[in-house]
Amino acid sequence: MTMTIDDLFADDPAQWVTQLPAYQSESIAELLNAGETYDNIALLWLTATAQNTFGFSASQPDGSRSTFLASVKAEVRAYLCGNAKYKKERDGLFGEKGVTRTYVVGAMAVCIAPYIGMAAPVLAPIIALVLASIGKITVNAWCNIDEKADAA
Amino acid sequence: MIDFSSFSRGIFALGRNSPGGVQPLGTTFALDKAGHFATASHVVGLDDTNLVLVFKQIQSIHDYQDTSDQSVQMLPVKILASDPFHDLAVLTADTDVTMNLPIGGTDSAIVGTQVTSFGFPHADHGRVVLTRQDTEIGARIFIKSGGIKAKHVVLNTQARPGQSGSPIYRKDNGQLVAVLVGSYAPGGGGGISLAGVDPHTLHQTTHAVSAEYLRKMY
Repeated sequence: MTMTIDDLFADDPAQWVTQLPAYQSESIAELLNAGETYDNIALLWLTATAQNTFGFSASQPDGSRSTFLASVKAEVRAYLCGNAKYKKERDGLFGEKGVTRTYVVGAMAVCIAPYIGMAAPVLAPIIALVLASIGKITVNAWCNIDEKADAA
Repeated sequence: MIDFSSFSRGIFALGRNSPGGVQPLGTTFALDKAGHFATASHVVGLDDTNLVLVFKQIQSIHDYQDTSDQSVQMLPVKILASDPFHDLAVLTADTDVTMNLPIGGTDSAIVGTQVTSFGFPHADHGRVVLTRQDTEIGARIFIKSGGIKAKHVVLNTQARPGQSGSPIYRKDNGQLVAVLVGSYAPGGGGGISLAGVDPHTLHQTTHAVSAEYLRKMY
């Protein structure tokens, strides 16, 4: 069966995360079972630190990681809704038939990563969680929803 | 007992290169697949721009390391996988370096097990000296991170910045059991700094996460 992007969004949103690598999908499943939302899990993914542990890296912290989620959401919207900076990649992806969720998440991560200063493999599960949080809706319909709804 | 003399060939400092030079960040070590390395995810953070393996040519851990020689060699490295809930990351570099040691976990390291770690303490001051520490497992604990509980061990030794990402091997068979991630500090520390040192971290309760979580990451 050949799937388009809209076909993927019309399907069960949970599949965006169940098709991630096991080390990612298993932690997400555990958090979903604990009652966390996709949005909260994305935030936890970005901000997780071991309790009562002082990390012995010699690096400076990344700053307030909680602000990264808003940036990722804004870039996902820009990508899916046709912002000029992603037009070529978006048109290519939307023109393809037979795309898989893994391919969509990977392609978006590679494209968006340089704009927000994250490595694509780090960004990929966050994108999957953001896509899952969109729910069952066509891309065009979602793009017509007020952008502020994302931040809510 | 394992002879750890040659392990220096598979354990590196991790750094970020910039026009002003390379800033050491922590420790990384070769896995059982060519060009694949592991470290703590908080060492690399979210971004792998200008991330490099940093090394000096030493054949054995017993060689004298010249602390006045600031020259290092570097090899670009990228993040392949990152798991912030277990504080682990797998990196890749264009090299055939590998270490064919079994990846175990803390299940096989009961309290009292003799272990050896290799890392780069004081890397926050630019010091790049590969250093071995021998100690034993003091406790096995669960630590929660972002809502996920993960298996850890307490190492009865003091660690310093730059040692995050250090491999913890069993002394008797060389099995990788854990990866050093930091020290116990109430509330995560960082509240007090005396001459750049948080006194809450000056003790012998060092935390290391079970290496078993690496198996699904590459």
